[in-house]
Amino acid sequence: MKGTAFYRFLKQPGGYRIVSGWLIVGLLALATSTGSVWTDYGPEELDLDHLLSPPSVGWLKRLLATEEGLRMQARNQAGGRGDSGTRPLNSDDEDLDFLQGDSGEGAQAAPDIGAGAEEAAKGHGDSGAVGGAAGTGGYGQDAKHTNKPHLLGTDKNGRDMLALLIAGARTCFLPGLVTCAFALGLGVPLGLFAGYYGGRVRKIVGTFNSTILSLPRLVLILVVICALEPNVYYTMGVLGGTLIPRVSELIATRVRILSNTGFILAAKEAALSDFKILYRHLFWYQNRAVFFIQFSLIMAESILVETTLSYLQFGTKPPEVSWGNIIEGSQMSFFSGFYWITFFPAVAIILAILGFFYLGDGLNARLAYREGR
Amino acid sequence: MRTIAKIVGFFAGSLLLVSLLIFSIIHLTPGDIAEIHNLSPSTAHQLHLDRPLAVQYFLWLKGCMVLDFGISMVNGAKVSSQIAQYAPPTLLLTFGSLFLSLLVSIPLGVYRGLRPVSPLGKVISLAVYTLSSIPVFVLGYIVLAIVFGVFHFYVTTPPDGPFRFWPYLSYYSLPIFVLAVGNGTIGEFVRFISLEVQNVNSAMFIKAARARGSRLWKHFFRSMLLPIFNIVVTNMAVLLGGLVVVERIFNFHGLGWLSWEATLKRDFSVIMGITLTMAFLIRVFMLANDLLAVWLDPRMRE
Repeated sequence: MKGTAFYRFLKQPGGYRIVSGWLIVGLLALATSTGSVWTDYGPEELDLDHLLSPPSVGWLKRLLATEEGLRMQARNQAGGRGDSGTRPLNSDDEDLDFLQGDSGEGAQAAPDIGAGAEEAAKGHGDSGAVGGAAGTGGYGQDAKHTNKPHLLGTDKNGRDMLALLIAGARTCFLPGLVTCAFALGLGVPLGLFAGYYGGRVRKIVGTFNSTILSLPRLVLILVVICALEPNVYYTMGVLGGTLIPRVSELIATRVRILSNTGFILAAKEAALSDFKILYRHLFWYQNRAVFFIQFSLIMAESILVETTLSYLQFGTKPPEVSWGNIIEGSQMSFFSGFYWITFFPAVAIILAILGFFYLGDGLNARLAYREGR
Repeated sequence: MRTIAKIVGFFAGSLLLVSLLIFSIIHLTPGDIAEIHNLSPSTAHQLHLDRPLAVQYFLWLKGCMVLDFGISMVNGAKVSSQIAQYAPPTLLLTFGSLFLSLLVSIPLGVYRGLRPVSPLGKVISLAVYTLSSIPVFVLGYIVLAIVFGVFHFYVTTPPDGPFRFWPYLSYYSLPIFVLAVGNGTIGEFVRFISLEVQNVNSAMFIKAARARGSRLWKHFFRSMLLPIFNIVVTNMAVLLGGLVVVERIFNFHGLGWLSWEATLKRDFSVIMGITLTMAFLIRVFMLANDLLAVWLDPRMRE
């Protein structure tokens, strides 16, 4: 291990942050791109036999399932559906079942026998396979899954938590890209102009920045939501707008220092056009690292704001899944002791934000180290 | 004198720009306000909605000068009296959490600035990074789960009547804690303060003071006062933004909660009033920062 290129990479400033950031971001990207490969259940499937069932992973269940929660769940199911009183809940005696399910889930190669037949007929929408399992007739598509464990439990509608988390990863990526496009697409040119031309241009950009900075970000977004219909992409655009000052001031300070150095003066003497000097010499050769660092940090910011807005009911609307609106919808369950529904999205949000944040911060430390050297 | 006049002029000008921005976001977007709220012609006339936009803006601005933000479009109450009713708890929450985060972050930041590579310094920076990336509402739930698990209840009703310590503490402590820790404020403060301490520590005047053998903390204090006030001012906006979420979690009736409610009901005059009030507050802090800089630093006076 010692002496390898990776070890040297790790040991330079910010190395651990970069690597752990990439791990989390990679995990998110994997969840976004492969999606439902990892679960037996789709995010919109309602498993009505297992409403509010605790995680089937033993230690998670012991951590999160309070006694009163379990009791209330048992009462719910006995009261809600007459026939499921006799059915074993997704509880203790199924822990063993989970072990089998897990090995099948990891490799997708050896599903247990009962599930194998179902796997072949796996079409999420069709209700043709209802007859297979007895005692659940009338609940259509859900019947075929009844003996598969819910690794992370289910919510109050019987949706699988793991599937919801993976669907939520998707909804926080795309709006983040919109934010980055706005913040960087407008912030970088403004910063370049302000830093390079100085004088009046700098004053105008500065006035614009100070106007935006004197409004709280979330409140400005609320004003826009109030004026327009709530829509994730509008709000993410506005968020990008509120991040313009940060990007443009950063770039402008760097460019102001650079524009008196020899190579820029040489480029001016060589009669290069301003456009070429700005975009090739000042931006691409000197500031692209800053661009990617800011990209990562803005992604973290946009995940934070997207989940917060979904929590406030102004972001992603309930049929679509976002980590924020899972937490919002789990409020009642949270106060009656079903902690797992709130716990997993919370962990996912923290991890996703930390991942992008560490990545950006580590790259920043690395950049400072290289420029200082 | 000219510098001070310039600063005050900038303050007024930027507030004017902010008001223009808010007004144009609300009024230039598609959708007729009178139609959205099903207002009768007489109410629309009372709200000046039948006048040209420029006249509406000047009437609104004239009202704002004398703290009259118009009337609510949903229930017809006066916006300024609503703001006056909800502002005091919010101010207590804001300044309480500001105080708490300074109380925590100044010692941590100074330690980390003086010993950046020590193990404890590294632990501090890791913990601070991690804490500052937890969203306010997630931290709120974590804190609620812990408080619920230990005490099986938390106080939801605001204390009224004269000030008494314990009821106020039990009601305000959780929101203040969550707003101070979860909003990224402490992380920002610690990072900034430690950088500033590193800069000051390697400055020539500290070296000279060390060589003279004079008391170092006096020099540190004088040169740190302005940067700390500066970072507080730049974080005011973040803090006020976090209010919306914190007040929603704890069902705390303040300005943030009012703005959430107004957005839900699309009550334009209320949200405009609140936003302008918050912008005014932030601008006043920035003004104070600039004036303090001029007062403390003679180089700024030219």
